Amino acid sequence: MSTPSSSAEAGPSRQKPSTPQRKHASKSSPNTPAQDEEGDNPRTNLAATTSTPGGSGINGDGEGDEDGDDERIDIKLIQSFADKIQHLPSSSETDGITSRSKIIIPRRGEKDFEPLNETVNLQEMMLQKSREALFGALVGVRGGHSKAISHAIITPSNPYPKVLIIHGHLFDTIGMVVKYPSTPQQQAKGKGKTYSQIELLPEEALYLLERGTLQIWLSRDFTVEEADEGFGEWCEEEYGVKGAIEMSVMEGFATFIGREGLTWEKYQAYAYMKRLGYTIHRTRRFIPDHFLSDPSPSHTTVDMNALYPGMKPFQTWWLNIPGWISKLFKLASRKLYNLIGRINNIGLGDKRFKGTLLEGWNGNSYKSIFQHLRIIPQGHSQPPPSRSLPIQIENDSKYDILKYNPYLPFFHIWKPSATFTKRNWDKGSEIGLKECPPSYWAGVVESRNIPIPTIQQLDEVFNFLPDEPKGPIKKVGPQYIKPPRPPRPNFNNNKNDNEQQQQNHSKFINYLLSYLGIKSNNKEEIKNTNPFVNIPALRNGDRAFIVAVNDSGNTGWIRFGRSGFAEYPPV
Amino acid sequence: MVEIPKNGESSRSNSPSPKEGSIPLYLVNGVATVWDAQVAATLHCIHNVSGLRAGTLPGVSQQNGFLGLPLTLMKEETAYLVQEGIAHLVYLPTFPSLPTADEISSHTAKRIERMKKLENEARQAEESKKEISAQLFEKGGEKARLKREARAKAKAEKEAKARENQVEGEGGDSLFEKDQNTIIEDSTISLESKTILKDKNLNENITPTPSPGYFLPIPSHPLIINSNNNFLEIINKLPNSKFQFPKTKKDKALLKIFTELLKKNYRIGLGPRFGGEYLIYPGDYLRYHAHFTSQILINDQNLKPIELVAWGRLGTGTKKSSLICCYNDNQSNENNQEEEEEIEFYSLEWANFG
Repeated sequence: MSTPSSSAEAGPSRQKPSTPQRKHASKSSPNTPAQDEEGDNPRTNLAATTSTPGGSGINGDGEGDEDGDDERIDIKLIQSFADKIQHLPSSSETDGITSRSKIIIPRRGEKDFEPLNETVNLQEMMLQKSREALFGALVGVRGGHSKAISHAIITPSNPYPKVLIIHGHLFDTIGMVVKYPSTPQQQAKGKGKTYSQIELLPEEALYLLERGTLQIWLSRDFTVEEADEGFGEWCEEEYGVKGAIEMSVMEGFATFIGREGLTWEKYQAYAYMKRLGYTIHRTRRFIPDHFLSDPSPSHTTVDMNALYPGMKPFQTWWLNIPGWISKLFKLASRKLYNLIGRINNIGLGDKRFKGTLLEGWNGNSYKSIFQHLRIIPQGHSQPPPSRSLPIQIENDSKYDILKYNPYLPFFHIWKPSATFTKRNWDKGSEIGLKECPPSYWAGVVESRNIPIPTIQQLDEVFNFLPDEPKGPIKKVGPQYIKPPRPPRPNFNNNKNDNEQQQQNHSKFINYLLSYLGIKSNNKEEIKNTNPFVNIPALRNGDRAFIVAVNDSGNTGWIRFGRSGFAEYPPV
Repeated sequence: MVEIPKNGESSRSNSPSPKEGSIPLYLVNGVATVWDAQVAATLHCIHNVSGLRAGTLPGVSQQNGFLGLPLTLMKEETAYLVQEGIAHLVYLPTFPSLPTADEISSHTAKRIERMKKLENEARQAEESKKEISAQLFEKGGEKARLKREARAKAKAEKEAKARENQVEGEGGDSLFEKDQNTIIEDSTISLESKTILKDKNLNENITPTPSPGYFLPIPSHPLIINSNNNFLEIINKLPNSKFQFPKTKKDKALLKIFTELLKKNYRIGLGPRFGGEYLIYPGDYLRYHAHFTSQILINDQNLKPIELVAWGRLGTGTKKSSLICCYNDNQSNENNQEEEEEIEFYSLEWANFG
C-alpha cells in the first residue's frame, strides 16, 4: 500500500504524542499550499492529496478524468488515514494490541440477492471495502498521553476556559492573558494588586478540545473558601480537577459555537487554518471586551484608535482644509490652462475639437489628452458613490456590524514561517500589528445567502487595511529553492560565438541601413517608449484581504485585491 | 469509556420520546451533527445520507484532507431524516447542565479507580518493556563484548606480529608480549563489569519514577446525563424554532426535490462547487462520479434561453448533465384540499444536426 507522502508528513504520528505539536505544524506547512488551493471539500478534496508521487495508476486516471476536481475518494487514501488514527490502548498494551471498536457496515435490503463468495461482484466488494475503510477511519479516539494533555476549567460565570496546566507548544500562539484585580485576601497573602491567568476564546477552546490536546473541566462557580481548599484546581490524587467533570467534545461544540460571534463558518475557517499550522487570531475589533479590559491603574487611559484600529481615525472638518486648498489650486490651475488654451485657440484659430470633450485641450502629449479626458475623479482616495440608505447599527454587540458588512476581517492569519509571539502581538493592538504584521486579513462568509460584496463594503474593508508590501515578491520556502543546474556541455561556447557573429552581422547591417537613411534606430526607440506595466503588481493590488467562503461546511478561500488602472498608466 | 452513552442507543429524556430505534441527531447552533461512527455508517449505507465530516481526525490532526467526527448534515438531509421518522433532533443547550455534587463525587471516584488501573497497567507495561529491552541490551552487550574482544585480539595479534618482526630484527624478549595480552584481557573484563554495573544503575534510577502516565481519552459524548433537567430537548417536527428549515417556499421545494431524488435511489451531495444546487450520484459517492448537477425551478418560474445554454454548457464543462428540477406546489387552486406537490425532472443534453 502506497501511502501518500503529504499526508504522512502532515500529521503527528500516533506513536509520539508528546512531541511538540507546533513543530509538526510548521513542518507540514510547505506541503499544504497545494492542498488548500485545490480542494475546498473535505469530502472530496482528497484528489489534491492523491496527486502526490506514489499515486498508482488508479489515481492518475481519476485525475485525468476530472481535471483534479474529482469528487470520488480513493480507497487507498482512506485506508491510509484509517491506518493512522488513534485508538484506545487496550488493557494488554505490551504486545501493541489496541482495542478497536468494530464498525458493522450495514447492508441494505435483506431481500437482496446475496452473491456467493466465488461470484461476488467485484464492484460491490470494492464498495464494501471502501466503506469499511471510511468508517474504520472514524472510530478514532480523541486524547493522548496524560503528560501531553493540557487542562482548563470552565464555569458558568466565566465562559472562557481558564487554562490550568499547559503541555506542549500549542499555547505559544493560543490563549490570552487576562488580568484580574486581586481580592483583599489574596493581597494579604502577598500577591500583587493584580493576578493574571490564561483564558481561551471559544474557537481556541473548541479547537484544542476537539483536537484532543485539551481537557476542559466543567464545574459550578466555587466560593473563595472552596477555592482555597483546592476546588477548581488540578488534583493529582483525583486524576483531575477537583469538583469538576470532563467536558465532552459534543458539549464543547454546543457551548462554544454561537458564542462571541463564533459561527460554524468562522470556527471551520479557524480550524482549517490551525490544522495547516497557521497562527490565527481575531482582529482587535472582534476580540471580546473581557480580554481587552485591563484593571491595572497605569492603563486607565485607553487609546480609542488602538482599541479599534479598524475604525477611521477621528476626523473633523478642519482636518480637510489642506485637501480643500489643494483642490482649489487644482481647479484654478485647470481653469488657467483652459484659458491659455482658449487664448491659443483664438490665436491659432484651431476649432477642430469644438463640441467634443477635447475642447479646450492644449497640450502636446498623449498624457495631457488623457488627463483632459478624465472627467470622472479616479483613485482610491476618492470616496465611492454614497449609498442612499444610511446604515443603522444596533449596538447590541460588537458582532452586529457583520450583518451589514460580513466581509469585515474577523481573523488575522500569520504564516507558519512568520515569527509570532503573543507578547509582540499584544492582542492585535496597533503596535502589535506593526511588530507582528499578519500575513493575511481574513473575513468569513457563508456562501448560500451572503451576496458578493458591494463596492461600499469593499471600500470599508480596504480603508483600514495596510498597504501590500511593494517590490519583488519574497519567495521563502523549500519549494522555491532550485536544485543547482548541472554545468552546460562545452558546445555552448561555439553557439555563443555564432550568436556573436550574427550580432555583429546585424549590427553591421543596421549601421549600413542607417547610413543609407533607410532605417533609423527606430526599433530601439519603440522599445524605450514601449509601455511598461507591472502586471504582477497590478494584479496583486495595493491592498488585499482574503475571505473564507463556507458552503455548508466546505471552506474555500478567495482573495480580494484593490487595484487601480490609473495608478499604472501604460502611456 | 463505559459510561459514555453511544448515539445508537435511544436517549433518555422527559420530553416527547422518540420512536423506537430513531437516531438522535444533535443540534449544534442550527446544524445537526452525528457523533458515532456506527450511526454514520448506518446513515450512509441504509439511508443514503452521508453528511460531511467536520472534526479533526484523532491521530492525524494536522491536515484538512480527511476529517473525522462529528458529521454535519445539510439542512435538507436533516429535514429528510426527521420527516421520514428515521431520526430526531436533540437540542444541545448552549451551556452544559451542571451535575450535582453527588454525581461529581461518584464520577470522580470511578475516574480515580479507572485511572489508577490504567496507570498500573502502564507501569507494568513499562516494566515488562524495560525487562525486554534490558534483555535485548544484554544480548546486544554480549555480542558487542564478543566483537570487542575479537577486535582487541586481532589488534593484539597484529601488534604482536609487528613486535615479533621487530623482535626478530632486534632479538628482544617474549615476556613483554605476554604481559600485554594479559593486560588487554584484563581491560575487557573490567569493561564488562562496568557495563553490568551501569545496567543496574539504570534500573535503579528508573523504577521509582512517580507515574509513567497513561492514555487520557477526551470523551466525545457527555459523561453525565442528569435526569432532573431538560438536557435533552427532543424535536420531532419541523420547522422548529431551533431548526427553521422548511420554512419558505424555496425551502419546501428543496426538501421535496431532495426527498424525491433519494426515493429514486440517487444520492445527493453539495452542488455549489459545480454550479448547481446539488450533485446527484447514481450510488455511493465512494464508488461513482456524480451524474447530474441540479437546478431548481419553482412554480412555473420563467426560464430564459440563456440560462438553458448556461446550464447545458455547465454540464458539459463538468462532465455531468444538467438536471432541471421543477417544483409546483399547486397552491393556485382555491380549494386547498388537493394541495398536491408536483415534481418533474428534465435533463439537458446538447444535440445537433449532422
